[in-house]
Amino acid sequence: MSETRIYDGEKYLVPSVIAFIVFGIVPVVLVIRTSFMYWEAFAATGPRFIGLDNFEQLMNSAQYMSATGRTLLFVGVSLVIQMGLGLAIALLLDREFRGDSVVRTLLVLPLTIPPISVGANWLLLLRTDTGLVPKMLSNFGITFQIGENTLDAWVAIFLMDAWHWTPLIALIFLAGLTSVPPSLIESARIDGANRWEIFWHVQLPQLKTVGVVALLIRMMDLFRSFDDVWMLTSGGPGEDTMLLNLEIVRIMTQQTRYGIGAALSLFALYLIIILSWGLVNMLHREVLE
Amino acid sequence: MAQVRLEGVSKSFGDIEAVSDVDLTVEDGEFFVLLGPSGCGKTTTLRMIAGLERPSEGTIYFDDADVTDDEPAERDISMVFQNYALYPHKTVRENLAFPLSLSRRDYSSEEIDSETERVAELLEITDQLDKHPKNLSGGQQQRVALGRAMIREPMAFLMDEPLSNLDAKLRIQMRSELKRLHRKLGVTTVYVTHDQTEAMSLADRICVLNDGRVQQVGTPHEVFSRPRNTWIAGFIGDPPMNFLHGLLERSDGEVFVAGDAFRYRVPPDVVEELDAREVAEDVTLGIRPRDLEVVEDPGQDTFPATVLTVEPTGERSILTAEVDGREIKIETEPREFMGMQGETISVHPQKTYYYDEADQLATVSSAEGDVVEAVEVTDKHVEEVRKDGDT
Ligand SMILES: Nc1ncnc2c1ncn2[C@@H]1O[C@H](COP(=O)(O)OP(=O)(O)OP(=O)(O)O)[C@@H](O)[C@H]1O
Ligand SMILES: [Mg+2]
Repeated sequence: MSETRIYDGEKYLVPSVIAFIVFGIVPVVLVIRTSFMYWEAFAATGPRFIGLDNFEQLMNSAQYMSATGRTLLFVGVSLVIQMGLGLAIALLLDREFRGDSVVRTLLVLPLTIPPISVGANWLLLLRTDTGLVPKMLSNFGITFQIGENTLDAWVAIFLMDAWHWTPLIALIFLAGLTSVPPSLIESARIDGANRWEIFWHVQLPQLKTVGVVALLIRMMDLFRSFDDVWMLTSGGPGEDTMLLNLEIVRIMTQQTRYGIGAALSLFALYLIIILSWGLVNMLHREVLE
Repeated sequence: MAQVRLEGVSKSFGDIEAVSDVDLTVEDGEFFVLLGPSGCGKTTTLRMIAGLERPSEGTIYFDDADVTDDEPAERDISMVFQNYALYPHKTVRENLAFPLSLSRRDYSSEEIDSETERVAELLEITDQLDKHPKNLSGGQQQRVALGRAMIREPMAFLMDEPLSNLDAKLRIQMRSELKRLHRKLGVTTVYVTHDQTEAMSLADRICVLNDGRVQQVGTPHEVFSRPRNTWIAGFIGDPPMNFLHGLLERSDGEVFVAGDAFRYRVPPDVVEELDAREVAEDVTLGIRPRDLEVVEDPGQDTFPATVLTVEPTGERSILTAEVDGREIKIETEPREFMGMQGETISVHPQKTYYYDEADQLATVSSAEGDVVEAVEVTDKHVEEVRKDGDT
């Protein structure tokens, strides 16, 4: 019988390493390569290297920079709504009540639905012609038209994303609240702290770490949003809700301008990396402190 | 400061009755200790006094005010938790100041500062004020917790095993510090512990709890020298009291307790008491290991005992021996009984406790004042260790 080797497991990793290289590394390298090329499917000339020209072009493009601005708006406002609402829901649920486990289970449900279905459902709900919501609002004399009114379109997107993802934040904060030692809260109660003072002085500081984690996860995910927004507004009215990802898809699939599309994808990637890096740093300081 | 009174207080958690029908009065300014084994309901009792737990039955009074339904904040008490419950993100200074900085109290920031300094000085933690709790030693954390409790002048201090997370030496040191602070401040204190030495050395009075019921309330001396039933007698004292079952036999005006393998002549003063109380035949004889003396010659007031093991512990040796089919412990001088395993010796009890059929203390033989001595030794010991710790 041969000697048992501790590192025998290595060979079982080979398939997944190969898969990672083929599906992970290779495409990224290809995208990076493409971003330095002039490459349009229907252009007179074939693909050729043009250095940083694509990047220069997109930095100077009002269209692409507006898409970036819209994306930052979308991410920023959504984060504020979802973090605030998530914390509020967590605080409401952080107690024992009849049916508390049922409520917590219900809270998880939206998280299990794929974004494309969420988009489809919200579209059916909000369509100007047949949607339930515009019909009901019209009874009060309010017109709600996501196809025509920019503000309505944004409200729809924020609501949809908040509906879909706030539960995740709530669950993370709920876990954070549960891990605050009860004696800290009891001690504050005995010392005479009111509900708000307990929240502000005892619970909130203990939620910092999970809060930053939630923020990080949600931020990266918001940057990746595509299918549900595409389903709901397709970037409209006009281009008023055209996010970076929607723009990239339009460039790559409709305009088939691969070079600039690749450059814009990488630009979006850098944006996420820089913002995440800031948050991760914050997290490290929090943990080390 | 206030008197704290519990009347018929019970607490159930579902089917478990954690505290049953407790009547207690903690006098104004008293250091009152709740003592009992794990799970006997000490913490639950304390939490009811704090208002963190509502009694299932009964009433709690502070002086003559019924506070049973009051919120913790309305009761004006402060509490030291077993894990100290310091706010990890606040500095020591902020932790100390917290109770004063709350909106329900009007303190100016100058007042808060000066009070914080005062308490920090009292507890000798002035150097630590700008640190965070996790950078403090256990003893320092414990002082901060005490300081936070003391910064107000509450009606009562409640403490739940505040010393149990400290090492043995620090525990003894903090014990005497607590005592000093209590003498100085004179605030009514209810202190929970399962450590009898701690209880003995700190308490003005001790309440012994078992199974959610009050077993006995009294001064440390009373509880030690007149334990009301065999459970208390076995719980207080280390090693625990030995018990022998026997029947009372009367002949020629003398009284004996007789088991299968021993016949012990009861001292005359005890006979009077036993007669006066009309104790029936069945008795349980209690003898503390320290009250057993190994003697040369067997007699009417000795037992034969077979030595099973000898454990030398330095200052003294503990003999385990068999009497009448039961194991007993004997405390002796260390040099006396090395290598005596298997031999039969005669032991003479200097002091004996008598429990009747209903497990109630009938009487205790009067003997050399060893009990008082014992308590004094404990106190002196504390002072000595404290001096050690200071240097
Ligand atoms: N919140 C609760 N829910 C259910 N049972 C409880 C609760 N709190 C206490 N108990 C039960 O009540 C009994 C008394 O508990 P308590 O904490 O008062 O004991 P204790 O004397 O403080 O013990 P220890 O020395 O171990 O701290 C135990 O049997 C415990 O399991
Ligand atoms: Mg306890």
